[in-house]
Amino acid sequence: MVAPIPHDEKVPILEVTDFQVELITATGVVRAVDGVDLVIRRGETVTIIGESGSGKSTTAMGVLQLLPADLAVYSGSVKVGGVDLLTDRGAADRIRGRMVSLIPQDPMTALSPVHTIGRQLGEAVKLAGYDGEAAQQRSLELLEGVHIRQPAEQLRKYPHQLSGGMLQRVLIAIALAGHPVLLVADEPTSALDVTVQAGILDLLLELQERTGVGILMITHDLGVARLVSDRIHVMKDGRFVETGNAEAVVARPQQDYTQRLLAAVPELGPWDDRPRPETALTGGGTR
Amino acid sequence: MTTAPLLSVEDLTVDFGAYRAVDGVSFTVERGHTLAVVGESGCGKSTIARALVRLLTPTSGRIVLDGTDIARLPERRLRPLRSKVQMVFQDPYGSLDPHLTAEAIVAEPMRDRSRRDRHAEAARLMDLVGLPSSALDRRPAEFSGGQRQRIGIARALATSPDLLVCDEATSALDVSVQAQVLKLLADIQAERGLTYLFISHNLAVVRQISEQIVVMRSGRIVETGGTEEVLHAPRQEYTRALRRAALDPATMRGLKPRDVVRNLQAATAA
Repeated sequence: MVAPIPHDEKVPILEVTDFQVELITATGVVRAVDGVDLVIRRGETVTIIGESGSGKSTTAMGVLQLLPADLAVYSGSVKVGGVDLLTDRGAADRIRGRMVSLIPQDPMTALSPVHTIGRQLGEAVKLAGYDGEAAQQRSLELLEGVHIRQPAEQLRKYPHQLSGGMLQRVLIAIALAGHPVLLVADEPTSALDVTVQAGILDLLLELQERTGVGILMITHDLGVARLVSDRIHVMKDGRFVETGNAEAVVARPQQDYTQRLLAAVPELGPWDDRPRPETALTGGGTR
Repeated sequence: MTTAPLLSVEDLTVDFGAYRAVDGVSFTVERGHTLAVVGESGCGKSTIARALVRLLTPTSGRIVLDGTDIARLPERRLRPLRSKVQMVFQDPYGSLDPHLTAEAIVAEPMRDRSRRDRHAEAARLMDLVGLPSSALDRRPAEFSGGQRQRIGIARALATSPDLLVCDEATSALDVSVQAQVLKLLADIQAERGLTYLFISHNLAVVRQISEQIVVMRSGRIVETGGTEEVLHAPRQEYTRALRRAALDPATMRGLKPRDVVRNLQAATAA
């Protein structure tokens, strides 16, 4: 099982202050992230929601220092467990994959197609300090922790032999290998079917309840944001235009932009969840 | 004749080798109305779209369009009918030729007309989808995703089709852009009496745009009916699972409401 987070409760897991990211592009310097602040404490999920080009993914990749070093200029501060990654240059490399892990967007392409699940999970497990028999045991534990059945069998498989939802579970297992205190999830379910998506979101909520891991979630989906978040930051043109408790932001948005964004989401309305007798279909086609 | 459905699909089956992607599917679409086909990846909905525009030839069954069965027509006889059914694709980035101007893309299906005619018609169509005539000379890379999807719709309308097959036409778009494109499709339908077959995995989008719905799973129809009724009171367990999985922010109560997703896996495993 995943160990509880060894962490000073008074220090936030992530504290981002006046964070700016400037990207050097062919047409000049673009300020993709323009002075954002956010805090994630133990057991919290904070979501950045926005449309394409808002800067939400750049913020996430910037926090992880995963933008190309020669093309991105950072300022402000990004503290993980009190250590500023922007001033301590080696810190990002030390914490990434250990204290902080990324759950990528597209599980179908995030793994190497020519290596087994076991080998790829094993690498992360070894990085976390396990060897030999203990590493194998840890791999099995991690797969069980993300509710993958017959884990020993799955370890021998290649990515193409697993479904998208299973692969996303594997990637979450890999992310958990180093006992992270923070998960950065960049659109972790947008490449998945809705029924699979729900399972993954449920798993993230469960892992958080179990371990207290903090989650920085990036999504364009208001339904996902509303479901998993404690706080939501609405991002537009590199800035947070609205910030608040997830329930309040959705129920009582204060800013024009948030109101328009919410109004644009088509509604499903109420429905009747009671199973009813399996009556004849209204149309043909089923046998 | 006016009461006959524009499109009638009967016992449609499509095989890819030994794999049956669509298995005995039947439905009809009334003229001027919208039928939605929903389901998860691999359910066969896109295969149906491709069969309707005859990008593939079904194994068996009938596709009766305005009185003619086009399911297995040879290309020579299909050709004059192709203009009647057009498709709007999912990916606004991959479905437009990057080398062509917007005008050339929109006018491409009108090659038999004079140059002047084509130009005038392309400008009219661009105006119809809400793009300025100055956009005619620009290439796909210069447009946003939503603008590209408008160009794709303008191209689809160029042959004055009766039926528009929209395959996840708004799935790649931001919600605000999606809302604009859905409104555009509704306006065009009201104005021209077009018939839509709207394929989507998004139940909320489908509720907004369609009157009738077909729910598919593993190549077969699970449930059909009026969109509002099916989404309000699904009869089949699978439709209920889909309904439950659709995260509607407006209906959630409390912070991190795990009950919304907690029981889902058991339900979908059934």
